[in-house]
Amino acid sequence: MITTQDQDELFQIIANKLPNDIECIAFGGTAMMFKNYKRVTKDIDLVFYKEADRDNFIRVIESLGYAQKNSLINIYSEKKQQSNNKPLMFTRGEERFDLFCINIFKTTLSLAMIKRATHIRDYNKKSLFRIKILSDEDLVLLKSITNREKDFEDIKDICNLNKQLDWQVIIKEAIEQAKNADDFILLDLEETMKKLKEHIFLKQELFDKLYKAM
Amino acid sequence: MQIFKYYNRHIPHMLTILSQIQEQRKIKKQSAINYIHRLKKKGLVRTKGGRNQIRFYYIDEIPQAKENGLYANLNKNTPIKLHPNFIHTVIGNPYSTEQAITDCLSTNDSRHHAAAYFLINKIKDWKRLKDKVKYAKVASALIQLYDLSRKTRKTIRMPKIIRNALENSDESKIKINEYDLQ
Repeated sequence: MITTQDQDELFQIIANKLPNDIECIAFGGTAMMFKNYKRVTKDIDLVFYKEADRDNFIRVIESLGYAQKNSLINIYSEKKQQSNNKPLMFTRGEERFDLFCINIFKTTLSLAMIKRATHIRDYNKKSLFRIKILSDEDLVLLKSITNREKDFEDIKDICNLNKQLDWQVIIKEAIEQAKNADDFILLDLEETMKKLKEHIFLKQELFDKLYKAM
Repeated sequence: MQIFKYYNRHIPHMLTILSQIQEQRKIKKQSAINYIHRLKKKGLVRTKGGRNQIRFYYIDEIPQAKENGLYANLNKNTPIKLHPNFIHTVIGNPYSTEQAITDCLSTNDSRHHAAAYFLINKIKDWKRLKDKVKYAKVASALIQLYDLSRKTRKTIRMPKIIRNALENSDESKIKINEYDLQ
């Protein structure tokens, strides 16, 4: 487990060791921590735009003692384990880096998602390590795709704390992603929304829109 | 106001005024001021208003990070005042003018370009600026902005070696419009 403060310190050390400026996107537990939805997280999920940036980042965390973990068993579902865009995972102790490049499994990091980013965190040391934090809508969408143990709980937390969550944006983005390559995204989202309907109010028109796009 | 609302949309915060604190806590005016002062020291109070207006106090449960990024820099150093599109926090070394120019040019928005125009004369490290604009792929936008600045006002000179390096890495498709800056 890693706290926000520990994470800030870790990123500062990484920024000090990076050979050049790097920009990436945070989602999952990390993003939730930066938005004060959570106090601790186990995995630090980052998406890089370039393979070279991810390689540089890996070199730095390896020098800090993080070792690559090859097995995704008990973390992601079997379907996800066989994906070409599965993350590179590095662990040290309890915390773990999940490093993606452009794609999060079958979902591509779209320009609209990057533009919707609500927070930017710069770790400005020898080099600049910039982390863009996705909007709540995109966090919910990505959490419904990854579908790990605690993801549904996180989605519930976001929905309870952010009453202005725009489901139209989520569905629009899911439909766009489905058009590109991710055929399962609509099914995953629908499954999450059905589970969520037991806890929060979701209009039927949102489901109709999803079914129409399937 | 909007930034406060957005910033704290999931954290409950209390909006109050001095007289309300006096009533709630049944204390004198000076005690209420002291109470606010103590909370402010912990970073739990943000204010709005004052002078002729009633001063509002936003009391948070968690200390909020101070804005020290792009918009804080632009609103302090340029006559162009911009409403933040995102919450920008910088940890570590202070946010540099070179980074601010790069970020402004990357946004592809005329108001941000106008703000970058006013920062040109504050550049201290041309090499750092060159590296940053090359990474962000806005090198030609910087040259356009610089040329425009040279044409319209007294501007510091860009070293030739930097200019050559920027011209050779012409990647950006951003066009700086002279009329947008006026």
